[in-house]
Amino acid sequence: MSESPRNDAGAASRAPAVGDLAFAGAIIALAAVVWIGTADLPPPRYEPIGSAAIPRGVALLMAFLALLLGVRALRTGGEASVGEPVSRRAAATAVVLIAATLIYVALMDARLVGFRVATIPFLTVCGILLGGFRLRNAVTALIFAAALTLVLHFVFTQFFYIDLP
Amino acid sequence: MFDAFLALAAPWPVFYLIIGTALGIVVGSIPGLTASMLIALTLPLTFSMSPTNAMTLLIGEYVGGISGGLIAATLMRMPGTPASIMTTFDGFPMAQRGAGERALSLGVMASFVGGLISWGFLALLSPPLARLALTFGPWEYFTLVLMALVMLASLSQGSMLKGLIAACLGVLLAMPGIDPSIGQLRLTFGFNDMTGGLSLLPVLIGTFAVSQILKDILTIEKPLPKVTVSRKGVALRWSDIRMHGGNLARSGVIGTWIGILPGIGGNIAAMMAYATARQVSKTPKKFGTGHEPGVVAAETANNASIGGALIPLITMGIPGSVTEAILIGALIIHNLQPGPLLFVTNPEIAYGVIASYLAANVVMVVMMLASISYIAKLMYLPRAYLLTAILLFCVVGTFALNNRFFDVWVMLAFGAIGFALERVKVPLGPFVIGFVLSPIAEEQLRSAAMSSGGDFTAIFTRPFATAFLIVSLVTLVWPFLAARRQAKRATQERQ
Repeated sequence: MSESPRNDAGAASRAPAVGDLAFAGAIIALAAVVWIGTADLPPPRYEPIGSAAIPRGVALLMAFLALLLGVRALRTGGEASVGEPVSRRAAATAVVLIAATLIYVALMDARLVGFRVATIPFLTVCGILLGGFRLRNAVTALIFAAALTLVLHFVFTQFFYIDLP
Repeated sequence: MFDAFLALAAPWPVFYLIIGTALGIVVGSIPGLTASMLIALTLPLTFSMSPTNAMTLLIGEYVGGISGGLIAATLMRMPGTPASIMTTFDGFPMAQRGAGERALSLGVMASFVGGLISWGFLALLSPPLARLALTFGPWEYFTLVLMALVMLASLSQGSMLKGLIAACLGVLLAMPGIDPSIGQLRLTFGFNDMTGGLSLLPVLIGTFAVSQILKDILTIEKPLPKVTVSRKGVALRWSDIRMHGGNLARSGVIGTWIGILPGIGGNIAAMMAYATARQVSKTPKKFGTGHEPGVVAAETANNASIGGALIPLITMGIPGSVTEAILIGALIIHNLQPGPLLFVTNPEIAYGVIASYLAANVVMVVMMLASISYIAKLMYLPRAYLLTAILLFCVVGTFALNNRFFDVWVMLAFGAIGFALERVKVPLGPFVIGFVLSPIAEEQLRSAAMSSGGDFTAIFTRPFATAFLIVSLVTLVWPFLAARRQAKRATQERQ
């Protein structure tokens, strides 16, 4: 019985350490990518530093600092993550919204649909996801989506002379 | 300067000033939306404007955004912007005991006076500082940028180690594309779209707007408390200014000074002014319980920090905070070179920024006193529609930059990066400022190395460059020495 709070405390301190360790790992990996990506750049010819030295220097420094952060996270448990705990529903909403955004942009990027055709359903889905699954909200979201899309399309194409997809 | 005020009196600048300040106040008053997010989102709309009008709009948004934060901080205990955190300490208790209108009017007055004080410093210090900066060569510029980055990383909130990593990450992510010195392609990994590198605007919009939307979605279920403000109580008297005169002047100077230092920002300015006001007060125990000087100190300092931060921005091209980094981006997008030459090549812009700052403060005080009860209602705009509309503006605004979807993907990626960085407590300030200053730093270092034939000891023949380097080193080492000394003292006390 007496061990349970200690285990909770242990789990709480391990969770932030995982965040710091993952961040340090990602930074070291990025530094490695930069190091490899600059490997085939020509040596300096017209000036003493060259194109590769600064990215490589910064990558090395960044990897060193990330290593220090990783060691600190292992020794002290790192820092707690930011913000309040997130509910499962909010997290699921965020995931669906991100997926909807990616699909929306991908469809327009692939020229499968135009701006108006893609944006009205996208905004409606977002409005329903964030505002709640009720008929009244769905209708409001649809009207809002149609109005905003058409106004934005008009402003960008007629006022700023920017061709939207 | 007089010409700048004259130019500002034309119909379009007045229109942009009013629109910018109004938008800033509205966005600042809505919890979860920030001035930097608004400015980043507005940038694409400024392409078709003259640089003067664009800067007028953005300065109006900045001043309005910081001032608007006071409303939600006072009425809901939710700082509309991070700079208003200290206002919640006394503003909210005042609102709870029925003096919300009084707290708001004091806050508006304090914001205005803070703006006036820092405008005085901005107008007086900027021209001579710019003249001094004109004598700087590449070594001075490189060490100045280095000093700004180191100060930003060490003084920004949270771990210094994470601040330094964030600055390095920002610097590194600005490097893909064409090398600024010899035109060599690097780090493009075979993608043609990467030839021009990562554009500033998608990075800014992603880091500040998209990541903020993600954060807000996670808290969208949280209901906002209902409060009302009557117009009757929102009035100011001359006696109010006399009563708080000393506090206003002191907090204004503290705010301006903190604003000049890179990376500290309005929230720390407000914190320091609040702490000082409490220290010198005869009734320090009243602070935090709804004490008027608390609201005055916090609001004076956070607004004064804007004018302070504009000083290094227009004289040297060094951003003091995230919002200034975005303003630098606005200058670059309009093909203007931020720095001391701005006073020589485009004096209308340099003096225009100074004049706009004063005018935006005047517009802000008039607007807020006249309509604060209505603005308070905007806090309850349905966030479901607000957030989706902002997300759409992010996509369309970024696409409009170059008419290509690559920028939109970059924006979304940086939205995820910004969100992830904040979750692991990595400050975004050093990251974005590193990204903005990286090309300048590299160009200056390489031309300095070229002029000295690769001899890096030449840095020590330049007094300013040496001084900047020493300040950087001291800023870097000092926190470690202080922590070590503290640990030693703690051990001695235990023994």
